[in-house]
Amino acid sequence: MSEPILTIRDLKVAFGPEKVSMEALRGVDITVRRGECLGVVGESGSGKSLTALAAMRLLPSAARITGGSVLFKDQDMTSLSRKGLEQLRGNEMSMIFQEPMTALNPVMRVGDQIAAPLRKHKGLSAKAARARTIEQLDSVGIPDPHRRIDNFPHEMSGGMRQRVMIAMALACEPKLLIADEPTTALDVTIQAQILDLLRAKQKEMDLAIIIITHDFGVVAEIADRVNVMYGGRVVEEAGVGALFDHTLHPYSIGLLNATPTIEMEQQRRLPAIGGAVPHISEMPSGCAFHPRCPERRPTCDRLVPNLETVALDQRVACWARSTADEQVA
Amino acid sequence: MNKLLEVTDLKKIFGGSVRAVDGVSFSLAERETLALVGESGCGKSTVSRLILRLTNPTQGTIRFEGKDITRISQGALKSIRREIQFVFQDPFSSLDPRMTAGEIVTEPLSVHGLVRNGRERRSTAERLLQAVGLSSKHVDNWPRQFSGGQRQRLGIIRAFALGPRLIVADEPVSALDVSVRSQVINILQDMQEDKGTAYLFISHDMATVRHMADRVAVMYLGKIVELAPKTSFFAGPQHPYAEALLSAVPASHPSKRRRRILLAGDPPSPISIPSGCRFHTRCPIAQDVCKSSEPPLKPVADNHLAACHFAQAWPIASRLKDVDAPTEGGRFDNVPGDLQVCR
Repeated sequence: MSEPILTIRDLKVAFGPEKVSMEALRGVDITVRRGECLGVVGESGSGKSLTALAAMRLLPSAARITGGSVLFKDQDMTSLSRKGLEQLRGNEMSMIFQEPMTALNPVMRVGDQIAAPLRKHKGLSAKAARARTIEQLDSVGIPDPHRRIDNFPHEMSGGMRQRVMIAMALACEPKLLIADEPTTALDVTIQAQILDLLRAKQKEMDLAIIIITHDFGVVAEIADRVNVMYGGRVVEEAGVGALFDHTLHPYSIGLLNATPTIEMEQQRRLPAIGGAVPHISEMPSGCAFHPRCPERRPTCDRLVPNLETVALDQRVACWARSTADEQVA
Repeated sequence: MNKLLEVTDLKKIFGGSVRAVDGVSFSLAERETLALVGESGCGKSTVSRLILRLTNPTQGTIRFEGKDITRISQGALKSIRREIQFVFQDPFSSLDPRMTAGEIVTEPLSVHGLVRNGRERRSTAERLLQAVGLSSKHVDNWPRQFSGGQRQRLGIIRAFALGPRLIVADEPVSALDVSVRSQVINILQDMQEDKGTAYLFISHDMATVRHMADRVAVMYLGKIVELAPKTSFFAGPQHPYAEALLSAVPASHPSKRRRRILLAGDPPSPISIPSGCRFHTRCPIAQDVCKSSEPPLKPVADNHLAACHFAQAWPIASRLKDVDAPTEGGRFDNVPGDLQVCR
């Protein structure tokens, strides 16, 4: 196994002033290694996007890190100075978002936006940066890059804008790319193109990718390993094959069953998970999933289960799968 | 089966040049679910708005139970709206935030004078809420007090309140979380079974379509390019666009990562629709004839229609059968030259 690029340990993030704060991330553990694609799956409110923002130190001002660490290689992102962060972001680690229209500057030509990190981090001259930008546009599959370099974002389609975002994020040859729902706003044929592009870049650049998604299809397409999140925690971590073939956490099982697939044997009813995703202001005690869990036990509403290693490439946080003595508490 | 809805050569041109819907014909039987699928900008939502008469067609006719409703008056429209109802995609913007849940679900009944007084309206509301698995205690709650899935249930029960024959559902589950989506899909199916309603189901999600639909219509740039019973469609789509659309659906399992038919670029704009077959600019098997002559939607198998000059003669699935997995970047090494798709 290659060495870890990003190691998140027991990360906690809270919203609001100290006395009335609500904990949105409640101890997140995530590791991504060089050259691998890690899928982070969860529904709205699971904390998957917040984890990414915290890792990049891009949290909204109402949120703050209240515990844990984020190691990028050997630097702790949580204690890094503004200057130290600037040297990393856009250079060694970068991020792309769901809606490329809002992530790109609408009044700046796309070429200038891609050239900006090249000039800042690599110290390229305007001319050299422009030449590199054209190469960059070409490498993400934008036809006619000599002309497109002078386009404004609104002159491009959604798929093309996402390619520009990828070109910008990868311009300085980072070691880590965090992609937050990069294809959710795109049509399915364009999504297929973008996933293919990300996969090609992963191989070509030995790039580590964290892809954040609510869609198991995207995970099945591109991820090497998967973390499933619920209620501000990772509840299951597994190699992508194990996650689909040997699903352990009742929430992961429920989610996979509830997802209709195109090859599915026809069945009248879809298995559903009862209830709804809890809001962070009313997070259940113990295991956050216990009110919706078909395998609930007496322990579940009292104690938070930790991630336990159950197989070589699989960890799960569930009392029903635990080998620990339940009576301890 | 009786035709409940019949749409003939429907066109909607916006601003004189945007051909959003460009000659669409289909019919819908009682109790049937027809899925209208396609990518953004293909005109599927405009078709639904035309059928609901929220916008007037430029050309063509819409018949409901044999009666031409294309140009009927506002007054006559009111009685049609008892029969044709709708569920929208976004349960956050489609419910009035200043009405309680009870008022929302009984509003159609009160508009049509079907509840006599407040007490009857309230008891009806409680009954309706229970029918979609909500507690009757929620009758006085505001929309903001409900989750997305619960709001969509309110939208569904409001649509069913008048006992319509047809419900037009425009992406009714795509804004919902996965774990809640299946609950709402089940409710839609239960309600249909119970009430015998027909659905025109607008969706971009092929997996949901496969689960819900009886027949599938694929739209591209304002036209239906394929129309077929579900089993026949998923067993073998005949139009290259439908084939590409299906092949672009993400795998359901990591072992099923597969070769894809990658389409070059983005769909053209409905302002400048390509000549001949409108798909020829992105089609992996386009020939000269495709640039000049527009293929009609014609039968290729039982009840299976496709608008492609080479629908039967040239099924691309079989031509790609011996192709290996794509190399990096999704290109195929050993695909015949005329099938090689570039970005």
